[in-house]
Amino acid sequence: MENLILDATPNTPKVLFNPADRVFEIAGESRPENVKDFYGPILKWLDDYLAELTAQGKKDAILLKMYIEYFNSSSAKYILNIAKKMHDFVSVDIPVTIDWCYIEDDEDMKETGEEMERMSKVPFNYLVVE
Amino acid sequence: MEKQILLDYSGDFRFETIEILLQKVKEQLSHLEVKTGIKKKVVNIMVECLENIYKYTTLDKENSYFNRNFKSKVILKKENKSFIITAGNTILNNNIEPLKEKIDHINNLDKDGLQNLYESIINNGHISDKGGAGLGIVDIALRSGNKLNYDFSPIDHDLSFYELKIKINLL
Repeated sequence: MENLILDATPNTPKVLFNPADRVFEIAGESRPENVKDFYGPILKWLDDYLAELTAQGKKDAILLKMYIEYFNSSSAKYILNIAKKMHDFVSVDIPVTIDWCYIEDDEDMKETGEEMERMSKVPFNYLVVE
Repeated sequence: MEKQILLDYSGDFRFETIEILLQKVKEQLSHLEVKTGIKKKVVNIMVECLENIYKYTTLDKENSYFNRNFKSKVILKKENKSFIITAGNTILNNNIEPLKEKIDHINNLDKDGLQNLYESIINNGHISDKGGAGLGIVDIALRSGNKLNYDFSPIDHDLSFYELKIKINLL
C-alpha cells in the first residue's frame, strides 16, 4: 500500500498515513474550498487499506493522531466519517486508538473529541499539546 | 476596558478573502489578554460566518444580481464582557422565511436540544453542492452559547440585506 502524504496548506491539514509504521497523522487547519474533494480520497485510501489488511489477515494496532487546530463545520462531518471508518478496522479486530490533541483551555475542541468518540465508538486519548 | 473594533470589512467576497480576514482576526486577537479557548471560539465562529457569506456571494453570482453593488460585510468588536460578530450579506426575499424559521428554531433550543440537532445533522445530513452540511448555524449557536440575533432590511422587490449578530461571552 502506498503512503498517503499531503502537505499542509493554510486551509487544509497535513496528512501523513504511513502503513509501514501504522502511525497516521492529520494536523493543521481544515477549511478546504471543496470538502468532498479533499476528504473523499482520504476515506477511499482507508477503505483500500482496510481491504488490504483484511486480505493479508494482519491485526497490528493503528494509531491515528489528530491535531486539528481549526476546522469548519463541513470538515467536522468528514472528520467524524474518518473516525467511523476507523471503527470498521476495530470491527475486524484491528485495534485503533485516536490521539485527539488540543491546546490547553480549548474546551470546545475537547468536547468535540468526546462527541466524536461517542459517535464513532473508537477509543480516543485526549492530549494537551504546546 | 474600552470597546474595540478588531475587524470592519465591507466589500467583495472571494475564497481568498476568507483567508485574508481570518489572518487579520488572529493577528488582532493575539494582542488581547483573553483566554486562548475564547479566542479560538471567536475564530471558529468567524470561520463559519465568512464561509456563509462566501457561499451566499457565489449564489448571488449564479443568480446574476451580484453586480448591484450590495457589498457583504463582517465586523468583530470587543466590548466589556463579550465579543460581538456581525455578518451581513444580501439574500433573496424568497429565502428569508426558511432562514428565519431555522434561526428561530435554533434559538428555542436549550444546549441539549442544540447538541441533539447537531448530532442528527452531522450523522445524517448531506453535504450540499455548495459544500455546506447545514451544520454551520447550529455550530455557531453551540459555540456562542447565546441566542442569535438577526435582522432583514428590505432592499427592493427581490432582495434584502441579512445580518446575523453573534455574542461570545468573555467568561
